[in-house]
Amino acid sequence: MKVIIPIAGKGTRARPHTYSKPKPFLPLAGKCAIDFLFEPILKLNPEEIIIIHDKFTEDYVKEFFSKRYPHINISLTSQYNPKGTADAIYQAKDFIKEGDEVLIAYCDTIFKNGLSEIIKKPCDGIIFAVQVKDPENYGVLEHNDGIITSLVEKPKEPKSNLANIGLYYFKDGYTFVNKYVKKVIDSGENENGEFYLTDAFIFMFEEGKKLLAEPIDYIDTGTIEKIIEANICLLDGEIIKGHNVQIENSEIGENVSIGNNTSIKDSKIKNSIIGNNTIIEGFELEDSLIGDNVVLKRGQKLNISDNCSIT
Amino acid sequence: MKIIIPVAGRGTRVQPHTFSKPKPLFKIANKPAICHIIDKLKVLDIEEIILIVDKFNIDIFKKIMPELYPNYKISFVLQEKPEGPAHALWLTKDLIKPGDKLLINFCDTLFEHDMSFLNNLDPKYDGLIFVKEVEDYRRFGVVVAENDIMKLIVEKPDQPISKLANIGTYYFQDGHDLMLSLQKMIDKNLKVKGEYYLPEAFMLMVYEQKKIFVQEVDEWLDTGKIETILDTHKKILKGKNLQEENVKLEGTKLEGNVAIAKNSTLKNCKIKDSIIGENTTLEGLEIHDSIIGDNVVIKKGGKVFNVGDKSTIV
Repeated sequence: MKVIIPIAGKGTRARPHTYSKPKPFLPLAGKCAIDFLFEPILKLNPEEIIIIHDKFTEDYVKEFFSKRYPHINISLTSQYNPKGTADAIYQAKDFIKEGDEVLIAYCDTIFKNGLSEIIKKPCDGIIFAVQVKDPENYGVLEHNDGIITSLVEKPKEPKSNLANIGLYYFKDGYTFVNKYVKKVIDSGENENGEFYLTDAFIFMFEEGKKLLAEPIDYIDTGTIEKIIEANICLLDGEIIKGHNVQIENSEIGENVSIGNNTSIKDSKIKNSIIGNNTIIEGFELEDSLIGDNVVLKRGQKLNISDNCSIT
Repeated sequence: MKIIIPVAGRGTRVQPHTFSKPKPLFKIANKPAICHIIDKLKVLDIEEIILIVDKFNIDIFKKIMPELYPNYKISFVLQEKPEGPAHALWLTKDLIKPGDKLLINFCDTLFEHDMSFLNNLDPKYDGLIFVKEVEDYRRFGVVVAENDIMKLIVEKPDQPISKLANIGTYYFQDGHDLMLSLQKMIDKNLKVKGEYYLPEAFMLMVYEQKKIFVQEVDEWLDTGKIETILDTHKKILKGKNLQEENVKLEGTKLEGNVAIAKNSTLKNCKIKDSIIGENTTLEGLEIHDSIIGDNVVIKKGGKVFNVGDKSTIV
């Protein structure tokens, strides 16, 4: 099993935090979002994890993985001029050999289920899905008894409520990348100047390949609000503190995660994520995401980056 | 004349603002720092502006520079990895031909000086190094002059050999002289702490009897870090307040040296000596000596904080 994780992208929906680090590395429940993505993946004992980054995330990604997962076989490869999801996956083609099973996981989600039983099902591949109430806002999997017949982006009249969440499994990963993804690339850029991975699935349906729609429990981490919700969901009322956290005269309520070397004084905080090396004095916070090396005191000198908010 | 402006670099000392935009595009008195520089050089006969960019900012400079200066030829040279300021200049060697007049301005340096004298500079000088007298000479590269000609340039000296600090602006009658000197520096591997710095290349020119005139500027405005940006901003505004289009002020008092970029709304605020970005909304704040970015929303008493790395309220 080889796992491909594309993490190129500007993370515009998680600003300002994504100005200084890629979205999968934002703090969440005492770890990073990507650690939660890794948990079920590592249980599959993958032979290799291939991370597709861009030029902006390259340095951060190299340092993070060498420190955090020194014993896992992780390869990094770059998508310097990102041109869509299929373009990203195609960058991994040299890593995928004949006979390799492939799992592809996008980073806006973390999922709770174990995958090892699901992927044993007889099929050519699986598109994991989540049941949604508003399928018209998603890529919708149309299916007959779980066998996918089509994938339609944001249909006006959805024929199912199963939405594509960006987690895929292919029994023959080599053919998937070298035949179907290649065919997307060879067909040329679409009207948006990009190459979409979903077009590769459509080529597979056309050839009668058996792709299953498998519902899965997942947590969205795509936006600031979703990250705060994910934190609440993962902490389930708990408080998580890193090393050397100092708390003085403060009320730390439920669902708060606090990074290393952070100090909090005369404050009241709930349902929030606070980064590393941060100082908070004299504030009441809720549903908040505060980065690393932030200082919040009750002063009149502000040094506030683009896209911050206090509302 | 050709102008080189090195803009590669992450601007670490101006974080958090440089997380989202390159330092030379940071607005001081409602004008990007790089425009303050280029506008001072407009009195010269500019043939080409060469920007030395890095992989992070190449796209934004390629997009924005032709918009800002449609009438100039602008070229971009990519610095793949940082190997020092002198190495960065060496990368432009294919664009500088023998006989090309060349002005170099590093981007932390804004200055007040009428540059038109360069159009008629006495040909007996090979070049100019611009300096400003400083008290804390230990923090700067200083220039020792004899009859206004550079004899020595030393980075951060322990002894007070000179108080004339190199501000990062240079002119060469024949830019190719500098390129040859930079080439020698590279060939001889004259690195300091693993990088190539300009004093080594300039000293090679001094050894070859090149006459580099030491010219003091009227005023040197540093934009290297947050505090110096705010100082420079005050010196440029001289007590005035500046607003771009579509700024809405309601019950708000601006007490001098406040620049507000377009589409921002300030309600019930009292503000002094500060830079406020565009599309920003502030309500009920009393602040001074502050830099607030674009698309920021701050409401007094707000409890929901979305605050990125290195932002501060002190």
